[in-house]
Amino acid sequence: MAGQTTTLAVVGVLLRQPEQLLTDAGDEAERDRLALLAPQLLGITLIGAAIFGLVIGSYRGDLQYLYAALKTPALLLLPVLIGLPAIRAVHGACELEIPWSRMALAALIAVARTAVLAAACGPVLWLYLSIQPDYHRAILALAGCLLLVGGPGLWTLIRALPAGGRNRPLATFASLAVLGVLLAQSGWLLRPFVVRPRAEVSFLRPIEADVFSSLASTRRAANGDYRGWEARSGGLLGTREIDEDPR
Amino acid sequence: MLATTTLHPPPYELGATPVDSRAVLVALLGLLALGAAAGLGSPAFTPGLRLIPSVLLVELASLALGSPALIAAHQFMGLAAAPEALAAALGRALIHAGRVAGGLALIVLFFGATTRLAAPMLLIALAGVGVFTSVTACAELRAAERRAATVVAPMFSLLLLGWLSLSWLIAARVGVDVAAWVFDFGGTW
Repeated sequence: MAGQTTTLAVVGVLLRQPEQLLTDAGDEAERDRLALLAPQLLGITLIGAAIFGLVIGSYRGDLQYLYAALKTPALLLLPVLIGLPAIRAVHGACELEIPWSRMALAALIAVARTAVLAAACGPVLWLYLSIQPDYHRAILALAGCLLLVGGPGLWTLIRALPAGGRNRPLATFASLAVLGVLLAQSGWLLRPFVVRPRAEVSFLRPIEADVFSSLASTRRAANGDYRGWEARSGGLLGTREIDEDPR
Repeated sequence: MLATTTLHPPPYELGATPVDSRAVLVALLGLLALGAAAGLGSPAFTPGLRLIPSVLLVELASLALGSPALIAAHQFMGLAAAPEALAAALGRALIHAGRVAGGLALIVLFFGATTRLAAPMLLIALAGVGVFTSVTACAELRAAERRAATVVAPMFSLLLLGWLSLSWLIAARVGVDVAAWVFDFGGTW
């Protein structure tokens, strides 16, 4: 089907009835379908997410157009890439063995649909960002857009997995938790997306702290506690600090 | 006398589905991988090294200490499923636990590589593995009992509840000891 259709037609099916892109005709047919659709779905993801990235970059302008357009596809793909084995395993534990080809196809469809919806949100977000709102409001608008398009995307992934299994709600909850946590940390890792108008533009910030401590600091600041926040680096890729004494 | 004594077949179904040993091996590797992922994120060498078998130790200890009690109590109470069927059900639960651990290892590795949250993420992942082990074990044990008896006795549900509570308590106790050993804060390892 997909081999004879244009990418635009695939986008149409993706938005109308994404489950039509799947097949229940067995493992081999699923692999064939994946081989046919994967390049188109990846292309749709890259283009859709890059358009959304361009819109985000418009808040700061200059090089941030390019940087945000390059990073936004990674923001959508990275959590799925890392979380897919865990999602498959938790469904397996709930007696629903899902072939890798089906998992990959479902994930690609979900991410592509999210990217297309994000691109569709682009004009509205651009209009808002063009009036140069306060930095925090811009961040909130971005988060709102991501929530708006992320919901249908996640729902598509859940719907694209085969029916059945025992304790399915538990598997669904675990999958959503995994993807939510990974998306949050990926966003933190790939920051900055929205850059303050006078701030220096950079492709990536140093690997430091984590999204949760950042959120805690933001919440403290929102409550009027401006004690500051020491973003300490850590982890394999950050600068390790072994038994350091802060005194 | 002994030669003429025959064992009467028990009133339950024998010959549970065998557990694939290769799948068990992969599951054990998954549990090791989860510990190793957290170990890679540890800033110090010795705790990092000791984190590798930590998940395997907690999971195996809780299963090894809790399962004989379950099987013994099950048989003592005259419930239907054969010990082999119960053991196979627990084996399948271990296989699923290992797969979940293997899947979560990537996530822990991601956090271990980019944040200082390797140990907290390991703790959350360990709890997740525990939840899925419990859920799978309950489903498998219940299926084994249902295969042997048309109706699952209420006593079986009570036994499962007791065993689950015992297993979680054992896992918590072993977890504290393993954490004391890993981070060297003076436990009773």
